[in-house]
Amino acid sequence: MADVDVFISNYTLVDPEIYQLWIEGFSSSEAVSYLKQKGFGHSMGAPSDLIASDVLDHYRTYSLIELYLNAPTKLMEQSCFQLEPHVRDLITEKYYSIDDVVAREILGKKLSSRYRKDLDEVAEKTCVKLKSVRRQFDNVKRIFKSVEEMPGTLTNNIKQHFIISNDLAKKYACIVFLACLRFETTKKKLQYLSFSDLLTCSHAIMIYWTYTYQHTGPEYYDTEMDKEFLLDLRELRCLLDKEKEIKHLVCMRLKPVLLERAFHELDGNFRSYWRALITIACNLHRNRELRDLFVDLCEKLIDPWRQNGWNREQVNKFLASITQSVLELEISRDQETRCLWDRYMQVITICLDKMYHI
Amino acid sequence: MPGKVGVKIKAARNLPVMDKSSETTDAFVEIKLASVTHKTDVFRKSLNPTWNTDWFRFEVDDAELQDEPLQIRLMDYDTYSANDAIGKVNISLNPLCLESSSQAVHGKGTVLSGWIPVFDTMHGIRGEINVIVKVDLFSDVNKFRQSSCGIPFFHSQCVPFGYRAQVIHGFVEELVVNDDPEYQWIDKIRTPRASNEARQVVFLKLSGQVQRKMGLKAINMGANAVIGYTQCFDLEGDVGVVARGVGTAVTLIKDTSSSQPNSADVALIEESSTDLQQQPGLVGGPSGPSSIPTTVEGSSPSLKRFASPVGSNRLKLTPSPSKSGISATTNADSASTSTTSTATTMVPTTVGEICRRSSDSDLSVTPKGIAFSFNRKRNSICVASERLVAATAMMRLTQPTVGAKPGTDSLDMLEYPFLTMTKYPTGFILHLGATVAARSVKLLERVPNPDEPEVRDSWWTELRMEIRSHARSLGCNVVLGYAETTTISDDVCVLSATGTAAVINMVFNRSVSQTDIFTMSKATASAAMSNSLEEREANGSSTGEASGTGKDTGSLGTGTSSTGKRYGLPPLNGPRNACAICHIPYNLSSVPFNVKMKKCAVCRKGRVPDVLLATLEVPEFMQVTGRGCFMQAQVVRAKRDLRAELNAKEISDGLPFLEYELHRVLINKLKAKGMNAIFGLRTQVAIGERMIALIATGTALFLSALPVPQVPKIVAGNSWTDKQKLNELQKKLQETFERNQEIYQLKSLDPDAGAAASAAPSTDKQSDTDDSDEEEMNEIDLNCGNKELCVLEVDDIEDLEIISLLMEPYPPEGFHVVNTQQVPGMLEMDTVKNLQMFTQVWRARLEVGQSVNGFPKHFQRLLQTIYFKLRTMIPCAICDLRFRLDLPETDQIQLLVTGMAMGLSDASKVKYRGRGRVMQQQQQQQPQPQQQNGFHESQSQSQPELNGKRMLQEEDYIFPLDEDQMVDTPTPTSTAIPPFGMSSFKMRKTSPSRLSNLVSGLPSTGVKPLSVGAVPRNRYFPLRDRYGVDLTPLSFIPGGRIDKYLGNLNFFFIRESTSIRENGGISGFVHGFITELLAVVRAHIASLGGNAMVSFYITELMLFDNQHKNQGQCLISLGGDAVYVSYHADD
Repeated sequence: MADVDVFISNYTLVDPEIYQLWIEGFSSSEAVSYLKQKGFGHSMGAPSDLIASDVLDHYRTYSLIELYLNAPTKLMEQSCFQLEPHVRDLITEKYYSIDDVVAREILGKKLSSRYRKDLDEVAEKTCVKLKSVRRQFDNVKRIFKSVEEMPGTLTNNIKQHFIISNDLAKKYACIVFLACLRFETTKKKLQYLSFSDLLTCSHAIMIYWTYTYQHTGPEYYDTEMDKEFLLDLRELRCLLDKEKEIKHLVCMRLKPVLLERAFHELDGNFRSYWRALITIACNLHRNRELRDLFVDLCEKLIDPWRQNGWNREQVNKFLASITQSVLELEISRDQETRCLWDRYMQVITICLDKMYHI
Repeated sequence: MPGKVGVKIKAARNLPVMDKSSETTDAFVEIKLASVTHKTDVFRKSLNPTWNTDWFRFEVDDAELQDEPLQIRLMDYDTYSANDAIGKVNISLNPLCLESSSQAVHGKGTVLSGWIPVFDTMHGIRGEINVIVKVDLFSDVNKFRQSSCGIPFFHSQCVPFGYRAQVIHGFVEELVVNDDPEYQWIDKIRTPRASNEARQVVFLKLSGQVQRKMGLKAINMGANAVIGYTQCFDLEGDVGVVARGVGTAVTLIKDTSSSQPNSADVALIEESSTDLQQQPGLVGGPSGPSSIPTTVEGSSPSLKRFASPVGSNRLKLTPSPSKSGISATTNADSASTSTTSTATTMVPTTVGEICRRSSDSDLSVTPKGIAFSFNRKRNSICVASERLVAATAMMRLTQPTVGAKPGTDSLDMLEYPFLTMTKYPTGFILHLGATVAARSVKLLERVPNPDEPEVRDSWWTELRMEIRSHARSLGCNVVLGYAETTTISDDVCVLSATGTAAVINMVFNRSVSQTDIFTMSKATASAAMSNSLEEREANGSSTGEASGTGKDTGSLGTGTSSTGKRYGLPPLNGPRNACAICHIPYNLSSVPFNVKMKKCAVCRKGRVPDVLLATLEVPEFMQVTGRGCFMQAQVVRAKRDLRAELNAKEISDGLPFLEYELHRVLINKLKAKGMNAIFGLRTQVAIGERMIALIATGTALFLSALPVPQVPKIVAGNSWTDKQKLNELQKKLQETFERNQEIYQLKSLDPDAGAAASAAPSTDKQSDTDDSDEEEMNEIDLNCGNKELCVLEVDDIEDLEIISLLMEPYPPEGFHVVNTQQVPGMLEMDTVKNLQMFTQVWRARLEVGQSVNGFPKHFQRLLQTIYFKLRTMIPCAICDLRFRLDLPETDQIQLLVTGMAMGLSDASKVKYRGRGRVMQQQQQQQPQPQQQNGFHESQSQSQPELNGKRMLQEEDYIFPLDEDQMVDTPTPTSTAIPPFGMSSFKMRKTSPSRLSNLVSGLPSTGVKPLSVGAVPRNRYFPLRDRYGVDLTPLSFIPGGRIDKYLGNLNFFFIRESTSIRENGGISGFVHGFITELLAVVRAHIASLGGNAMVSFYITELMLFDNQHKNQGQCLISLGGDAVYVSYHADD
């Protein structure tokens, strides 16, 4: 075995396959045996020591680049590695790639160094290599720290500062958002929710319930809930009095489209569903209630529906009709309530749709 | 006279955290030049400080300007304790002293501005600093000045692009001895950082000094530049350090400007006093006029003609369109012969010539891609020398005093007729002799006064004298591709000098009469020289004639048709030269060794050696059959571990054996490859405690002029009995041989010729001659065959192993590997997709006992590694592959390999492109013989040289037609690719329709039998966004054109670490270091306004590794020529 065996080129070579293995946390020897199994370099008749030497070269390069990957803007201006632009984009994107299972685990956890030590549990649970889990955790923490206090929308900020694709930035935005407002996602009851469910839900909240819904400009953060709106939601309480009219309207709409058994069930339980919807809305101005939004939706609506054998279609139909019914309701008073209701239901509809797994 | 240096510190970024508690840094900058130091303010608590200072000014002597690097040091301010160093930037001011062509302001240098990495010897790169440095130089015309500011140095081994070598003055060298700080007492108490930095500065100063002194020598010779410059540091341990530089002093002028030559020194090189017997009947022939048709004929489609009597040919060769051309020729010729001695009458003629030429070069200035610039360069050199002659003649006439002075000066400088370049303009080399080498083993002893370089000088003088005498005994007047190297082991130093003896055209591109002027003017200065010149002329006037024909062909071209045609041809290179270059310049009886010689396979007249070794690049007009390939021979020998004098003796006793062995392996490998010449030959000695090794690398190829090599024959020695085994081996060897012939397309001439002849009923006469020709050739082969057969005698197992070595593994499919700058025989070099310079460092322990036997395997393995690592670039060409072997410790072997990989756009097809307009009627295609009418002949004779010039490399795209001819679908008649160069006479097909097209100046489209259609032009200029900075060991940028040279950069870096294990081991340490160095180099290039570096080198990688202490140290010297390259998306 050689003491020194290094190959350096003027333009930094990145082998996507080897890079992927590095990202996934394969050790160099694991990578070599994996590649050998796959028949890597077979066409060139490369013996395994060649593969090993190549993998080591790449791994060394990657670990040198890693410093810059921690601050991709520096990767842009650094001169140590001449990377083709598309390679540069590829390696940052890959470096910040996050596994949904890992993200789900990290959600709601305190991003502390103490938790970092417990990542081996996560690794065990998710079957992702510890090294990779650590990288993902560190990425989340780093992104969280840098954009937490930054004005503007999360996704854009992340995109700009970490030079990653929109979809990936959205994921991080969601994680940061949920972590900023400390939404409860770890309860046992919520364990069934996948990361992509929560991604959709939180994204909806970010769009509809933060200040950026009505305002644009750098001074508005999308990590800040629209406090006025949440307080105004209390006014929906008055809708409780209109339960009868609303029930009538809803039933009228749903009768032709629902099975009889389901319709009867709805007819019987409408009151409790209705009350649950309004109560959640009225309590959202309290921070604690807001954090428990997913739990409440789960306990008060999803669980009963599930018990009563609703299917997804039924949920969607119910939500659509109830939204529409309230809007059509002749409330002498105001446009304002309608707006409130609409803005409220936009999110609730999306959340319930996503969260309702049979 | 002083110069003023201005430095502005703008900002720094990404600095390291120096204050752990606050996680920031309080940075300030110290700027030091010579003994003056300036400081900036402290910028508190920032990792990205900005200073935006005013100009810091330094007023320095211009010698200091050259010697002293500008030292910029970043510091972290500390209130209570000593300030900590963050890192340093050393900037050589030499490139800034060069006259910038863009700036018309007199005396202003260029500006360096940009972000440069801050390097620390203990931590590597720590952030970057943004500086602006400018130099105001007051130009100095003082005769006794100590500096040579403004003399550009080029590492490029050829005349830089965009310049013309007006005069080649000759060899310059310099040697500076200094103490190595590492070995001084002070180093025992200094921190490693301080000592490393001191050392780095010393090396930079030495580099500056060497260049300053060489520049002075060059100025004294009347030169204005040094090209082919190489610089070495010999680390002689506690004896000190020796910085050496060798180069070639030249007077360069810009291609575009037609400035008056500032020096009148025409003397090229001392001529050997040896009588040059050129077999008068052979080369000289009759006088001028009759030899011209011969020359012209040489390139015309049929080789057979050549063999037939000259006289009859000539009649056929005066066809209608070129009649005027011929008459012009005779005119010119008669003119040149008549005006022998009167300079005055000649001058106007030359002036007229100049005007024509310069207009040519103006025309050719229109950039059409790199290929063309090559072409232009080639021409312009000829032009330059022509002009030079005129100018000189005039100067001599009007100011005899001026002429006399350089004459006397030139005597000193001409002591050694060495040129360091490896690439020469067409027609410059008349004959290649052989590789000459000399070595000497010296014992290093403490020099009482280290500033006295005399001892070292005398060592080198000895060697140079030896080389010179070798060259003389070969009948050569010059040594080309000259290089000097040293190998040091403890206190023993092996000095090696090597080069290629050759005969050059001393009166390059001059007519006979001009030569006479030259001789006459010279006569005052040196009688010997003029003697030899006259002598030479008497002896068949080979030089004069060559130039005469060159000129003639040029004017012939003018006469024939459009003007554009002319510069496609090098005006000089007569086709005869194309094979004459292989003819031996010496007389058999006069050389002290045994040479096997045969008749030249091309002209059947000259004598050629059976094998040719040269340190040069393959000359452009050389006829090569098939492709070239990389080859290497390694020999190693165990040596006793001795000290001092005994050690020196041991080494010096062992070297000849190694040398012999190396040569044997090299020749045998060459034969097994089915090739007969090696170019780019480099040998290197490595000495370890218990081993001496010798490696030679080169590019093997098949020169058409040289005899076809035979398969080495294996013969049993006395004590060998196993016949079976031998037969097996012989069979294998035969197979290898044949396989090689196939892979490298070495067999193409004869079978095709036969096929061609049989398929051409209309050309009876031709086929007749052809047949007879072949017979004759066979005869020759048979005659000499028995004598010349390469025989390998097997006596024991060791011999068997050597034989098995002959059958080297091939590079994987899609790799073309050579150590020259271009792949001989390959045309698609221009279709480069991407460039990748690479460096491979490999060090391993050798198991005891295995060291000697398994030695070559390591090299093979390393090559495999490189192929594998470059797998994504397939198809690719690897050029300028260099090996450097070190035996750092008892059982250790270290290899440093550098090279240039070029991704080719399509290698599945070996492609031959027509050479623009001039080539369009002479494509290399399947032999499709056809009636050759007189008209055609006239066409082809009008461009005689291009056949020779048809090269693998760059072509010009000036012509709108795309003349791609793929030979990827071989017809049954020939599976082999036709050779390039002149050797393809038999396979040239010219369709009449094409001809008519040519005449009408329109592109032909439908006629090509194998037309690939109009390939999008931009294919040749890859659309990949060029970004970053290219580094290449080549002297050009494939696919780009060098617009501007920004000066040479030389760096010497030291990196040390005390935490090797934590940073990925010693491999990680080296990996990180080299990566950072390349970054520093790129940053310097970019800040000078460049985007590439050519002739990039990495030498002297010294690595000390102490695993127990977790320590490591690495020294690297690297550099090259910074250039600005433009990439055309195409016109």
